[in-house]
Amino acid sequence: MPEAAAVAIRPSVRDNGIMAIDDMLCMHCGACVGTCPTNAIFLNEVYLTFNEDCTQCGMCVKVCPVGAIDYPRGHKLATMR
Amino acid sequence: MPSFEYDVVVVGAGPSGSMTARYAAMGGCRTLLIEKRQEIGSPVRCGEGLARHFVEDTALPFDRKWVGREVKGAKIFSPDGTELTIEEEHAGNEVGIVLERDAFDKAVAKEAAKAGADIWLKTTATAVLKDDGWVRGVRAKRLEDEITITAKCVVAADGYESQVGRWAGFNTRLKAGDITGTLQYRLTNIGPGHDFPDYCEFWLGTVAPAGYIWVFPKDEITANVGIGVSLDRLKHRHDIKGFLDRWIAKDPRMRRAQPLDMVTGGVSTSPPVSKSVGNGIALVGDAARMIDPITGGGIGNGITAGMILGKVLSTCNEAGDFSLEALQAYEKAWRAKLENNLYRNWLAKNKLVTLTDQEFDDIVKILAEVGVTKLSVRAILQVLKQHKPALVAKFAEFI
Repeated sequence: MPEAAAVAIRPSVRDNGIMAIDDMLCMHCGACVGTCPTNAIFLNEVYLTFNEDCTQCGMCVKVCPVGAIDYPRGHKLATMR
Repeated sequence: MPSFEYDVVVVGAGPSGSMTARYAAMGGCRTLLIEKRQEIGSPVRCGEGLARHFVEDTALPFDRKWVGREVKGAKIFSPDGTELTIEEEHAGNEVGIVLERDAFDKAVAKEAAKAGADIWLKTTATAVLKDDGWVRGVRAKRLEDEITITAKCVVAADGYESQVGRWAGFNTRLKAGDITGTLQYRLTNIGPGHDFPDYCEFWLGTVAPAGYIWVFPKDEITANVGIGVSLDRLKHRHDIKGFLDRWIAKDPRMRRAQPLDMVTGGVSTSPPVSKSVGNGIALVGDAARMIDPITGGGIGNGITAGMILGKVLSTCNEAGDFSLEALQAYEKAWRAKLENNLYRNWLAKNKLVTLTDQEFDDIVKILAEVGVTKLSVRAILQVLKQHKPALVAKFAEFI
């Protein structure tokens, strides 16, 4: 395979230790926000954040239609590379 | 911190919020409609099916601009491919018009503006102002400014997220079985078959566990092809996308189909909130969980409730009273109109999700043979009871 001349894609996964979000996948639809039982997710039109109220119950991971949310790095259920 | 004062502030300029703002402004309230996005109606997050009568009920001026396609009715497909056709006059709530939702949302907002409401874009509510058991307004971020908007009544029309209500102390939480994750592609270059593009299609069974796949035509070769799957049937990240992609790969009409856009979202399939008003606050539309639990359609119910709320707010404004007691008029009126149906459909949904593919096949086969003249859960069950009572034993209490 030919070598890439330049790689312009910056890391798209933000991981704050609570949950990890892939900003390139996220569609900002709010499915996770309305699903969250502890109201720990806040979404403006640019990005999604999790706060300390999160219990890592994983409902948002499953409900996200595009798979943009995952458990943080090191968590035993994390599947995102 | 800049501060603004209004009679009514509506959070969210979807159809429900705009309809509320329209009727509130028409009744003389100084009304502000805030929307977090930079454009009302876009990006679209919807399958876009709507029954005609809701448009007339809410006195929305009809405009070809927001009609994507008018369909002849609906087709229901069982897992083995048996086809049941229901002509429009019998189809009940959710089909008739396939909307252009971005244009539709703008059309409703336009009516709100014509009635005298102010509209602010790029304005995100970040907190509600509470004082002594009353909601007094919202804090918001408007472009770069942190602002406060004080209002005699806050209307939470913030859709599925329903955060404004939660901040104010309402319980808008959902159980996993009452949450549906959805994904939709607008596919073009769809081939002919199953009378496409004259009918809205619903595909049942394990192709979409505890949900369904829809195909809503937009023009001769284009359709909204989407899926809803109940959260309690999902196990892994990406599951929803996998279900839809596998179904599309199997449908011969879609072999050369290509996507024009992609839409995602969450849909509540729960009964409506137990309490939708408080002192100085009211919930409307998806935020109050007014979505039909069987079809997942919410536009019609949302604009109906929005109209009721706007009218009640006008009366409250005249009396200068936005207390819980005064707003009860709204709660009573929307429940009288919508609640029975929502609750019954929720109960029926909880049974429907237990059906196997074989049972869906049997049911659709019988209905296709005898024909359905009215598409309501009750009417269908009655037909089934006459022809094969064993099939509907699970539903005894609905007949």
